[in-house]
Amino acid sequence: MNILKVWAASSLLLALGACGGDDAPSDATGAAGAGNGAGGAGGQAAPCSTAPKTHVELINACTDAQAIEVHPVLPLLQPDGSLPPLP
Amino acid sequence: MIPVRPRIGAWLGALSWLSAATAAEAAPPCSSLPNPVYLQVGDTQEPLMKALGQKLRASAVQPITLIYKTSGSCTNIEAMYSGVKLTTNPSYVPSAAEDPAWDPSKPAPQCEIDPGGVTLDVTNSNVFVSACTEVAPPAGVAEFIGPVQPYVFIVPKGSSQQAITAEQGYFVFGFGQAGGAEPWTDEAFVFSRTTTKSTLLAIAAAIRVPPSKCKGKPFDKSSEVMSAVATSTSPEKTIGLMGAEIYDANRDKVSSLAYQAYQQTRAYFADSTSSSRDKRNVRDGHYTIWSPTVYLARVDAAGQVTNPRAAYVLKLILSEAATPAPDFDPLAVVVGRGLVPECAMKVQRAEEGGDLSPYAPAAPCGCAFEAHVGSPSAACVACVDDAACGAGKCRFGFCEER
Repeated sequence: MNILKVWAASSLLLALGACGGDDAPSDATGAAGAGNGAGGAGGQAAPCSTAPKTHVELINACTDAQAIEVHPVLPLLQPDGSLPPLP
Repeated sequence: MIPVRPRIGAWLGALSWLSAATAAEAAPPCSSLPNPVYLQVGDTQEPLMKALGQKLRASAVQPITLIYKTSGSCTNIEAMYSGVKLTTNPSYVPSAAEDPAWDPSKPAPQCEIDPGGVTLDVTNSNVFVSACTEVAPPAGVAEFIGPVQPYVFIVPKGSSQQAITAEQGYFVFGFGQAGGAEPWTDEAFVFSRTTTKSTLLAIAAAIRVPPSKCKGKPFDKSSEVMSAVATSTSPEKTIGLMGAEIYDANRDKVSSLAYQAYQQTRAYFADSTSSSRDKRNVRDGHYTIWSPTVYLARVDAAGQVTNPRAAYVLKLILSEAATPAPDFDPLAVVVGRGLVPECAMKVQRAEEGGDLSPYAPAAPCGCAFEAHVGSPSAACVACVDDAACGAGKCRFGFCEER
């Protein structure tokens, strides 16, 4: 069963935390978009980019869109997190 | 004694004649329909065919009848490459005079194709052509990049699942039950598409599983997947693949999952929230499962579409200026079918499932897009001409940068 954590996009906290808001970081990365503040291990939000250029920056750019954190249990995942070859 | 058999035969003969007469009424010759354009498109584009076709039948400035058949993207590419004729009875969009009760939510009627077949004017792939074939279009055929088509994972309303990661998708569709990716471990409830269909090709590219290796029950039509998912007897174990515009029309029956791509830290819906329809995450790159719709048509040596009516239809689909100016808003038709015009995109990619990069369309329409799907952002300024836009341009009723 997935462990899901849903952040509501419409809350004021999101607006404040999301990049582009009044508290938006001035550098190229900032707090992750929707519902940051409680996300990730130890409550540390994943970084996001305010000026995305690369693929990884674009898909993780700061946004106030609804985001869902997913931690699936995948028994066949390799110890280093890589995918095994297809059967 | 009354001979029963001949009397039954007479009745059957009469019934047969009546049936044939009714069928003839229901299926006029395709060649009798005014200003036809013959298309073969993916079934995800049927809603666009119906909506655009209805406007074109009613047009006072450029009336056109869209006559279309649906088939898989790869099949459609091959049809244009090889000059395969349309030989089975296609669907057509009726005029209000022909069927006053018809609207795009209803099945389109069929017309009777010429016995010798008809050459297709336009075919459509809803994935990059390179996802189907590495062969370049033959001389006399050109590709036209149309609006972006998102694809989604869907689950029954009774499912508690809200999101799926690329890694989960890899194990669900690449390994099936052996993948152990709960709750989607029963292949009897994993509903897929056949390998010529854009829906499977696009999603398979996203999760990096070759289409031919995808597990699950393959269906030929989107409607079959929709029905299988919506009526599943085991909602929690059920998952299916769907074009977003078909999902949008069936949100009361199924739910879509947020998707987390490889190297992405969170999952996002195609829209900014699960209940909105703004395709914001598709436009800005947070939702990665999408492909451009590609249209193939016959062109002359200068690259111009040889059939002027087909050229007109393509310009409307591609949100380009058309002459005469249409007496309806083609951008609204495209956006209303869940597609994202290229002019509203902020990211691009060069191949199926490929990396994204920033994109700045030459003639942007982001504000008009936002107006059609909700309300334009605060930065958008309404206009009637360029005078209100400073250094920018007035496009589709809003000031844009270029």
